[in-house]
Amino acid sequence: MWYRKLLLVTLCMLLVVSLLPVISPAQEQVTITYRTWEGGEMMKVNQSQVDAFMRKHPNIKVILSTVPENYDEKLQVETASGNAPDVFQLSAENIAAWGSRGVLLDLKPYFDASSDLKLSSFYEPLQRQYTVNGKTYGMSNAVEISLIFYNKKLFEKAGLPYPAADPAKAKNWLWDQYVDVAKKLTVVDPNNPSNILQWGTTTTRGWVFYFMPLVWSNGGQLFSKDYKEFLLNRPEAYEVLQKDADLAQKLRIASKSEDLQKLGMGNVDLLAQGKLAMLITGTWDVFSLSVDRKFHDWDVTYLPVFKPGKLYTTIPQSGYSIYSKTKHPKEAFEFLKFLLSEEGQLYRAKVGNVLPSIKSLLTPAAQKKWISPAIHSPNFGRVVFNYMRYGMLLTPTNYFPDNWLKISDVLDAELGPIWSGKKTAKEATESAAAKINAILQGK
Amino acid sequence: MRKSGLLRQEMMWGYIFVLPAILGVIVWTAWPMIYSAWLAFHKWDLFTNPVPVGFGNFKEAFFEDPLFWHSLKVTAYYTIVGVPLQLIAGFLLALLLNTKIKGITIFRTVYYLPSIVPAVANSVLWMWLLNYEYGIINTFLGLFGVNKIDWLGDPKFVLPALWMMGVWGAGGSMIIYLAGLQGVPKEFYEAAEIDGAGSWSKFLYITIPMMSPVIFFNLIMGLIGSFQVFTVSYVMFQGGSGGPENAALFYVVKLWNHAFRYLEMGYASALAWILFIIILSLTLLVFKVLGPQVYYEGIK
Repeated sequence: MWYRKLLLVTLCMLLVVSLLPVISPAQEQVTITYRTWEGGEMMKVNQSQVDAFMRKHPNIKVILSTVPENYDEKLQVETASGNAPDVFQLSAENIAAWGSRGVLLDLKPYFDASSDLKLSSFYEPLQRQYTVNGKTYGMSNAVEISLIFYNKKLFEKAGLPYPAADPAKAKNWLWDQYVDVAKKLTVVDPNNPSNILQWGTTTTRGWVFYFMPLVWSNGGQLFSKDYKEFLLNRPEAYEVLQKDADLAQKLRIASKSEDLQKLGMGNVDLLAQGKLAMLITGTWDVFSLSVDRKFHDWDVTYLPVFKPGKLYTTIPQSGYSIYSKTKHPKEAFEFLKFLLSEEGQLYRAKVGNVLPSIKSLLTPAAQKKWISPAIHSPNFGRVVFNYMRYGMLLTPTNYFPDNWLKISDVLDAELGPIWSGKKTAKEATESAAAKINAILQGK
Repeated sequence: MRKSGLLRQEMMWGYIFVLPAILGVIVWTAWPMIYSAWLAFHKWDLFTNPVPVGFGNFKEAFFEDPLFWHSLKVTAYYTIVGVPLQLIAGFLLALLLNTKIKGITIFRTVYYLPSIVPAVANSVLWMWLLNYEYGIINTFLGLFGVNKIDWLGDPKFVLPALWMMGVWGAGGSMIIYLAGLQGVPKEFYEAAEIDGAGSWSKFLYITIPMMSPVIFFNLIMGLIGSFQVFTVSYVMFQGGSGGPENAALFYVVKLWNHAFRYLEMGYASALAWILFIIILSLTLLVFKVLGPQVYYEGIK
């Protein structure tokens, strides 16, 4: 009967079709998930990185997701339930705390086995910062250093030479000279002395990444070498904090937080609008100035020093890690390697978002690949390449230890009264020391 | 006696209809509560297995953690001033909005509006109102020659600023008062008028007693809500920083810090249970002290 035959044939065909995926030797497609906190403009940069990777690796599909708010909490909850993304951005402050608890994949064996990208390919302090007890829990795609951005026009108007780009000169740019320059760059309303029209210098006051280079330059330290004692309550440290607070409180050449509130704008806006001559911040503000605000009349220089020759900077940054329970560690590492490769890093470095972390891009010869006059300033390469050699990590452990976030919260709350002029630096650091030492020595 | 088929079927449908709610309570409330009670006696970093520590977390809170007492003090201060202010503001507003004038419904809507603004939007809005230079509050105070106040930067003024915000959001309790006011029988007032009572006496001897259950309800709810204040501080002071010199480090903000920033979920759970006990005992205390003063129709 013809319809029986038809039925049989149809069934056979269905069977063949349903078995096809099983028997065909088609290349296996692997999907990995990738998470960042960067939204807005940077989201596009991320997506183009991902697209470039997928073109090179057609068998790996990368799904990018971005979580601009409550990033750490979301990730923690996801890890607790075993559902974290395969590759994710992570602040250096979390590396040791999360890594030592088994959340992050140790990348060391992978880097050792890799032929093109080794751990030693990266800016040296980063290798130390991401390695905890011999295990490497991530790697940074960026170096950020703290330095001074200045508004060139305001220096010209005041008839002052630009600050040095030459590290040999910068090594001897003493604090008092810096204060002198800042004084000359401060413009006060002649009719109302309390109204300051132009500030000489400023920073995010009280930010540990900013004041530590100054403290180091005076021979002070944040912690003892064994990370058991808090040392900002020593004279060589608190004197620096006091002098820094005086810039805003006594000398009125640096803005206080109330001043910013009054003006209703941030430091970067002040600089771009010619109301601030010098701003101590991190290299990421290249993007804020050149791309976000289309302001180009800026350049960079080194932080001043308290003792001649003692030039320092800090390197706050974040990087990428791989989830330890990922089902595709090989593919995840392949993707991480792409993000960290020269090609992958250029995406960000070019727009001024970061300095690359790979050594091969951090040489004067390689600067053409990412430093451009449209984004970066004339002295940028010279200052940054030189200054990076003086980069220091905040804690003697190199990585941020478990209790760091707690300590940094106490530090912010306790040192706050220095910057608002309610306590002297001596009093505030004394009270901070009692609390922080308890955390360092306890539990 | 067998239940009729119809009755049984109705029962089954009843259970089916309430099932989602019951499941929700079990999964989202009951189970987490039991789990957090268990966690309170453990150290847990969210990543590795919890380690039992006995009463260690409670010992740490009461005897070792200076910020525990600080945050409790800040929260209590916020509550002691903030809740009565909100109660009074809400009550006065309700009295005003209970009058019969033209367009009263518009006024009611306008005054209720702030309480449906999401807490985050509310906080952002107030950051502008409280802005040092451009804020409408400083501008207004300036008319009376008051110097500008750094509301969110000066630790002294942080809580007063938050109290103001609370008053602004009194619309929520206002609507409950309003409903209560409209439930007071007109006959009472009429009878009192015949007896020669003035408006003050009527307010004191009729309105207040008749409203006492509503006031009591708002007090309890205000108390509970106020002890759990979180969003305002979180939004206005970037995450768990707690504002200048920890002036707005509320108890729950501190709890959140431990849970999600310091990787101390066990300690955070212990803090949560301490808060639960505090709120429970306060509520019981209020019931005991003020409860007998509350007039319920028929029974006293």
